[in-house]
Amino acid sequence: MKIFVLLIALITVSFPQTIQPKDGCSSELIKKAEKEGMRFIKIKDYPDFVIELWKCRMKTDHKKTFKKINQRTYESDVKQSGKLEGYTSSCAYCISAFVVLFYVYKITGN
Amino acid sequence: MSFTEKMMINFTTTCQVYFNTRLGFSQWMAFTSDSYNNADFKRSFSYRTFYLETFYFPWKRVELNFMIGPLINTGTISLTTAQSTEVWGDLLSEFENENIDITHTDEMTTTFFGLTSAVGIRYYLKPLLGVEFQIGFIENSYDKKDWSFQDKTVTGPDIDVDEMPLYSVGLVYGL
Repeated sequence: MKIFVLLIALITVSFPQTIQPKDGCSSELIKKAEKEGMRFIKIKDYPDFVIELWKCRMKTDHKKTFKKINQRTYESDVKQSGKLEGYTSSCAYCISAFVVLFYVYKITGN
Repeated sequence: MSFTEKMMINFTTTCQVYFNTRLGFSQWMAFTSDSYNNADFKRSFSYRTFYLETFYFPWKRVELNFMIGPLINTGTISLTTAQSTEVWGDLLSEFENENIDITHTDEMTTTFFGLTSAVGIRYYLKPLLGVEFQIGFIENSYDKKDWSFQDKTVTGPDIDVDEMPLYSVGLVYGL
């Protein structure tokens, strides 16, 4: 019974912290996505972000906002992971060599 | 190998741990079912891997990825056969059941290891949705003499799973 009461208390306390009033397309998370790209939204904020996107969908200028978020995400992908560096390039070259060698051996029958 | 053994179903989950690196778990399932001496025969192979994937974006929306990982595989052959168990028959008839067919399923299993590696290209239709094509291979150390049945080591089927080319087409969803 004590655990049950404690659970209710925790839920009551935690809800006001997670659900904040959102203002359509001008919410904090959407602004962040517009600025840095969608992948910079933290996993714990993601449910709120989806709800805010849904609210934004009701606004007349939502297509412009969505397009901006998408474009910014693609740009940040290229900026963040546009090059293979350090061990990641070594790994990529090795794997490419493995795959090529496998098919060369397979085709030549050795 | 049958069509359903060659066309495997794959499920993968990954987590990005660095700008160019993901760690993931992947499982391929191959199965076939048939009739053997009027008994239901099922054979399935599961290829599982915890893998490392490096990737980069040469252009917007286009990602090239390279994955490698060890495989821990299991193979199972099960057969469902009719049984004539008098005790069960007596008990069921005592509960006023008639003509109940009693069947029994048993299986032989094997575990073997391997290596998988692939290169792939992914195109993002949306930031969270992409289509991917991968080409690679699966190398296994399958031994037909290493099957077990009821805690005894037995000989299994002679299946060619040592070197398998791997072509994969899939949908990717996630952050």
